[in-house]
Order: sequence, then C-alpha cells, then structure tokens
Amino acid sequence: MALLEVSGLRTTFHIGVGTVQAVRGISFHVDKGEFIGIVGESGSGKSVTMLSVMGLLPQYAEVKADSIRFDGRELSQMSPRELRSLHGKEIGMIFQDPMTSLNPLFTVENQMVEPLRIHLGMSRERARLRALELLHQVEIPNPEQRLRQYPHEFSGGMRQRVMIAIAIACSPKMVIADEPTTALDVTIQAQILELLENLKREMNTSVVMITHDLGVIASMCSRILVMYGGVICEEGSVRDIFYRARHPYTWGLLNSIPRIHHDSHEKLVPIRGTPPDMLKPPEGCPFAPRCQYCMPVCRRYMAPPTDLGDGHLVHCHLMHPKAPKVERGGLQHD
Amino acid sequence: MLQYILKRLLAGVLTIVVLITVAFFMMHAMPGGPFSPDEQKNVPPEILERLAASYGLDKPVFQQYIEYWKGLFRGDLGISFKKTDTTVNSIIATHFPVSARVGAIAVVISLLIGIPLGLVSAIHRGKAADFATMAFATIGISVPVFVISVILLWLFAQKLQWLPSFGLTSWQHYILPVACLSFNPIAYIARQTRSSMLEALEQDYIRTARAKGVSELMVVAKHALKNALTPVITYLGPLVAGLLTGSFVVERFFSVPGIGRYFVQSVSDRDYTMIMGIVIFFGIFVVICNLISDILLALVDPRVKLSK
Repeated sequence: MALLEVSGLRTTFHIGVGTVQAVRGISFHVDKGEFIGIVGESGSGKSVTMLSVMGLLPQYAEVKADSIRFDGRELSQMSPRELRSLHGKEIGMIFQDPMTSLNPLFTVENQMVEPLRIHLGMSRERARLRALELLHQVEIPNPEQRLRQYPHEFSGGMRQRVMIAIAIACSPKMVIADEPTTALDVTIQAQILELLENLKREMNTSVVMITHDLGVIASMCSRILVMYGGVICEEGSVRDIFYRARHPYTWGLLNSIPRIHHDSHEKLVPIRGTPPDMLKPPEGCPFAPRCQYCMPVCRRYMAPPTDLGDGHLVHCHLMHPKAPKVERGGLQHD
Repeated sequence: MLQYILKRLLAGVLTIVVLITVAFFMMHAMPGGPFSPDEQKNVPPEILERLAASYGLDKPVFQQYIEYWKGLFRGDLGISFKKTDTTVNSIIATHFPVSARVGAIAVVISLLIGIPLGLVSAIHRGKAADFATMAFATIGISVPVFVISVILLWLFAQKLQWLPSFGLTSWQHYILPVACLSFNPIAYIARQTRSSMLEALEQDYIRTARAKGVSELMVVAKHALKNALTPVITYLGPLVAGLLTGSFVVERFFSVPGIGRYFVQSVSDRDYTMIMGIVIFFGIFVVICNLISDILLALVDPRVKLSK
C-alpha cells in the first residue's frame, strides 16, 4: 500500500537569469515499509523532488503537483503549519553534509529534544531520556556525556548518527535520506548504511534514499528510480535496474560503477557530454544529446512510459515496437 | 579561562606602555608647546620660561618621560596645564561618568533598535521594509555625526522647540545627544545583523531545524539569530569603548560636560598632562572593552576557544 503518492510534480526556481526547471512532471510512489532509492547525477532533480514533497525549498522555488498524497492526506493543499506538524514527526529527514547540518551554537541535547518537545509534547526531562535512548540506538558511545557536547566535538560519522537519531526521534512513517553518506569516509559510509538498514528493519519505516551512487543502494533498496534532467527515465526493482535495465542512461550509470571483484581489466565507461541546461531543458528526452542510440523522435518528444511488468517502467522511444533493437552490451563494445 | 584573561591583561599592559611612550614623544615632537612665546604673545617671555621650568618642561624630553612614569606609578596623572588648580585625575573622575552615562544609553539604544531593524530587513528581504531600512542604514553610515547633530538640533530644539538644546539636567536633555551618538551605530548594527542573518538563514542547520518541524518564529529567533549575532558581539567592544568615552562633536554641540571634548581641547591647548591622561585612560578602556567582548563571544560560540 502506498504511503506516499506523488503525481505530476513540477518544481521551478525563479532566479535572476530565468527559470530553472528542476523537476519536470514526475510521478512515483513509496510503499509502506519500503526502502526506495532515487539515483541520478548532480542536478538531475533528485534532491529537489524530495524537498518539494517536504515543502522545504526556499521561497523562490515554485512547486506544482497534481497531487502529493502522504498517508491519505493531500500535502499540496496543506498550510505551512499543517506541513510543519508532519516534519520531524511523520517524515524525518537526513541531509548530505553532517558537518553543517547541525547548529554549531547549541548542544546536541538541545537539538535532539526539539522535535520530541514540539511534536510529542514531552517534558524536558522525558525528552532528555528519550534522546539518550536514541543516541544508544544509533550506537553513539557515552551518550550521557555526548548529549552535553556541541556538534564541533563530534566527528562527521558521529554527527550523521546524531542526524539520524533526530530524524527517527518521533518514529516517523518515512525517512528521507538525502545523500547521507556522500560526505563521509568509505568505512564510515558502510557503518551509516548498515545503521539505516537496521533501523528500517526494526521500525518498519519507509526510507527514501537519494544518492548518485548505484553501488550504495544496490544491497539495500527494493526499488530504484533513475532520474535525469528533472524526469524519471527508468524505475523498477533492484533486479530490473541492475540486470534488465532498458534505458541507455541507466546503462551509462551501470557502466560507470567501478567493480573491485572483477579480474578482467574492464574499463569504466563514462557517459559522454554534459547534463542539460535546466534553464532551457531540451524539448524531447533530456538524455537525447548524450545518447548514442538517439533517434530523430527523441529530440522532439518525451517518450511515454512503457510498462515491462512488475512496475518496471522505462521512458524511452527505443521501447517502441518499430524502434531498432538495442542491447546494453552494444555500449560496452563501443 | 582565568589564564586566558591574565594573558590578555598582560598583553594589554604592554599595549598601554607602548601607547604611553609613542603618545608622549609624539606630543613633544609637535612644534610649539603650552608656554611657547610664539603662541602666548601677551605674556612676557621671562614669565613663560619660569612657567615652563615650574612644570619641568626645561628638562630634556627623555628626563620628562622618566618623571612622568614616576608619577604614573603613584597613580598621579599630574596637574592640568590649563586648569591650573585641578588634577587630571579629578577631571577624568568628574567628566568621564557624564560621558559614560550618555554613551551607555546610546549603546543600549543602538542595540535595541539596530538588531530588530536588521532582523526585519533580513526576513523581508527584497520587500519594501528591507529597502526602507537599508536606505536609512546607508544614510546612517554615510552622514557624519556633526551633520546629524546640526539637523536634529535645528529641528527639535529650535524649530519645534520640543527638546532642550544644551546641558543634562533632565531626561529630555539626554534625548538629542543620545540620538546623535546612536545614529551611526544603529545603521552599522542594522546592516551587520541583516547580512549575517541572511547568511545564517541559508545554512544547512536552518533546513534541519525546519525539517524537524520547528516553527518559523523559533527558526529565526533561536537557530538563526544566535548565529547572526556573533559579528555584532565582536563589534560591541569598539562600540562600547567609543561611545562611553564620549564624542567631541556631540558633547560640544549639546554642551554635555563630558570627557570627549576635553580630549580634543587638550590637544589644541597643548595641555600635556591632560593629553597623556586621557590617552592612557581611553587606551585602558579600549583594551578592557575588547577583552570583555571576546569573552562574551566565547560564551556564545562554543567553537571559540579562550586558551590561546
């Protein structure tokens, strides 16, 4: 059953030189207890999508959607006050850079008890006890002492644990993790991912993981959305994306994952060209200028979704019965 | 903490010693003097010579310097050359509190008006309130205090006759001098608060606070404001030192019997002991104010360490 259902989401930023069309009409859903990944390169609109759902974008952003339904309620019709009552309570959020995501002038305790006091009306004492429990849950040693410390006394990984503790403080129905490991060392990355997975299992929370690293989510997600140029180009289960991908952009992403276990001296294949300028996004498929299988139609029209079964959706003209038959292997022999 | 304060005080003492030395020799290097025959044309030169000798001015400058230090160690700043019956110590003791009182009110007013102005302008960025505030702040920073003083004096004391123009005998008397003194600081603090507030509101931790469901009021008043105020605290040291030691212009225009006017007057009078006395006093005051604002900053911002 869908916890979050977004349809026709468009987000634009009005800046001095024009209008940036960051998200251009995307629809997706997140099921209850599902671990879903949104993948794409920088500027593909993956973070903006989730920030739009949360209503956390700056004022110069304009969010339009046919509907954003969360747990049976329509978020796009909510007042800021109603939205706030969901933030931190039913939807928790973890951000990319733990070094700057905590307020440097307040103790960790002060920042941890905030959602508990606001949403659950806890007393200072109860909130403190709950904060201790949470620090324990995210495996921070010496929680008693840690609570009294300031963020600058924590390492990056520890700060991200604090962020996770804050995000799950009120046992939310959904946690949005926006590149939670990008700013961390590889070993710490693994620990944080493991922690997220454990928490998801214990609390049965839906997790939306935003990342540019397919490798990070391969083992954790049940479903993956691949975004490019503000639209979704392919979505499906992890198996669909890793073994049965049909969109040339997804192939490009897969070919650029380094594999340490492979004996062969396989070359990493970069995707040639640069992402589209979102001030003037292309009329047709945003990937067309970089796609080696690009057909004339690709430059004119966006491809409709093709359902390959079990929720594997591909937005590509190559799916048309009259289009040339292309396989992923073709890319590698290039 | 205590060690830090002691270190800073020791550094302050060194600063003051250098200040005294430089000021003393520069003062004597200026052509002319309190009893120079060129300036005191109606006094017979013999009398001027005897006067100079009685103040020890006939001795070599270096010896006078030593003599001055001896006085300082006794806590004696000497006798004013112009007001021959009063010591510099007593002049400072009677006139500094007047300046300090007016200045302290000006500091409080500057903060009470400047910070909210900056906040309003940052929150309503790009809107009418922002433009109005920043237009006022630009005027406040660029118009010199003597122009402000003349305008306010003319408008409120002469034209409208709402407020008295000189002296400090009732609370109404404080309004104009305080207004003139706080004009520039209000503008400066408003601009500073606005820009640091805008910067703070862009930070990731503000987004975190919003994602926690913190109300907009608390986001601004708690998470952003505390961060935005650190530059203002840094400015507080020089501000307090500057305002409490009085302003020559304002005290002159509004006939406030403060210490600020004595400073300028003593220079043109060549009142050597007075110049030195006020330089030392102001120097110590600035050192202490800066120390206090640094300590305050460390109390607000846990990342600032007072150990170095």
